[in-house]
Amino acid sequence: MKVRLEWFTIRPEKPPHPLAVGLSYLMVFGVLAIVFQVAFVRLQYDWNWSVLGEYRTLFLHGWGTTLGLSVASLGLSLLLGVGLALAGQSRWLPLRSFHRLTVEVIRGTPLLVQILIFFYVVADAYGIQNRYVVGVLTLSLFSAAYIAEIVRAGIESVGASQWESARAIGMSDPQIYRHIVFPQAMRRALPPLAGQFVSLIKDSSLLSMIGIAEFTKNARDVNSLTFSTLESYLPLAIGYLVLTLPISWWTQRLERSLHFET
Amino acid sequence: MDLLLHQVSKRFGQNQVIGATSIAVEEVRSLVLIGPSGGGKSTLLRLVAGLLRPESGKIELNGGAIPDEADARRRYRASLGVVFQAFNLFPHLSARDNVKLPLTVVHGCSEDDAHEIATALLERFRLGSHEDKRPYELSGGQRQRVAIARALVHRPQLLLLDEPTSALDPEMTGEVLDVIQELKSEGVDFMLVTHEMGFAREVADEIWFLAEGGIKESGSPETLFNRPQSPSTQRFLERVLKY
Repeated sequence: MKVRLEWFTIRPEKPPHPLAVGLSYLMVFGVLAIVFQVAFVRLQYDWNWSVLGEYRTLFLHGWGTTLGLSVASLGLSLLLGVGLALAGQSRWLPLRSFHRLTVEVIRGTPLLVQILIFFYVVADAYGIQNRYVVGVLTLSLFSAAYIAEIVRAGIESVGASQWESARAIGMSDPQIYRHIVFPQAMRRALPPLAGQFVSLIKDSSLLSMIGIAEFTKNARDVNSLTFSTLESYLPLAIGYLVLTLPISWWTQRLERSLHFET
Repeated sequence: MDLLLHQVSKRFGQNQVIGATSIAVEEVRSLVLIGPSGGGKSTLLRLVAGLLRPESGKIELNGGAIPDEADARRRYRASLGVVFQAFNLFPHLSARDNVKLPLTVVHGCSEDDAHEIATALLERFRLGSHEDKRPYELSGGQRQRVAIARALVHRPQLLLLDEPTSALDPEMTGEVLDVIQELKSEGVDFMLVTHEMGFAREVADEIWFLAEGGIKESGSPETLFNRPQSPSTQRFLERVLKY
């Protein structure tokens, strides 16, 4: 059988065959694999994968810690982000100012600086001893500023006519947010939210700065102990992919189930 | 319905949309508002619906003034039904859920009861086979009939319709006008803004002609269409009935 180019052309009237999709991924993967294989061969890198077995508990602990930090920060940042977005919609001016100021300062400064200030100044002064708690709080606050803007854009995309017809039914503002605005805003906010969650997971690596033994820190430790750079960092990349890919898949599915046209 | 307007005025910025208008009608079933675009018809309908507040004056519906306090105002709005020109269905909900929403969220109906009432109402509007579709899967005429069902489902004391057929082609307009006609024969009180003069004449108990932010003429359709008194009504009718 001859492979024909038109199998791989997307036409509006006909979705591509699943086999063509699979084959297409395989080809792209193959090309990339060749590029990197050639590079590694030229480098004449001396692989030492025994490092992975030797330090597996360190890898696994680090990965587990990153997973825990991410899950906690994800939930908290979503909560804080929605709260912050609502503050920005408030009729009370100080709440709006709080929203604006928080978003601008957090988005405009490096996470690294925020972590250091929160840990060494704020947490210390207010007696929060647990560095994991400080880490999750800082990371959540950082991510919440971005989520607040994503949620705000979603809320504002729900038009005035939707508000008017909901008010005509006799719904209160909280009811309108819950039944009309949030479901529609969610649909529009999902793709950028997925991106933000992926960033959050990767940003958690900066928490190594305050001595949290998360995935990146442990991989770095393995590297400095064994000088096996790639054997330490390649598993790191794969470990992060294991965390971030499900988020992409899950939000894509959610997006499809929430599908509606306006 | 009894409806009383006393010195009602409304402005948007510099633009006086309704200027110190007073009028009263008693025991009319169907009130129809006609007049040129920008004459204040939709604004007047929104004032009666409690969606806009007048700058001054008061409005009384069936003996009660429209309340000022927010919660009471919300309850007043919940006692009415409004249908908009652009349908304004909730795009993320199925036809049935659109109709159920006022019952479950605002009127404290149980899920099962709401389901039963909404299904029966949609069936009556010949939408039985479309219940599970989202608005984007429905035609314009079907959407507007769902919107009418949503506005009627809680048995409002008054149904307000703001140009319900202006966004529809003639065939779909017919579908929607049939439904309004049926409602009239069932004794639903309504207030209708429309450009369909033939329909206005047929269905109205009372017609108000609005232009330049005021009611220029009011009365029975026979009088208003056959012997219009004010020059602006005469000019308007001449223009719209020409073809």
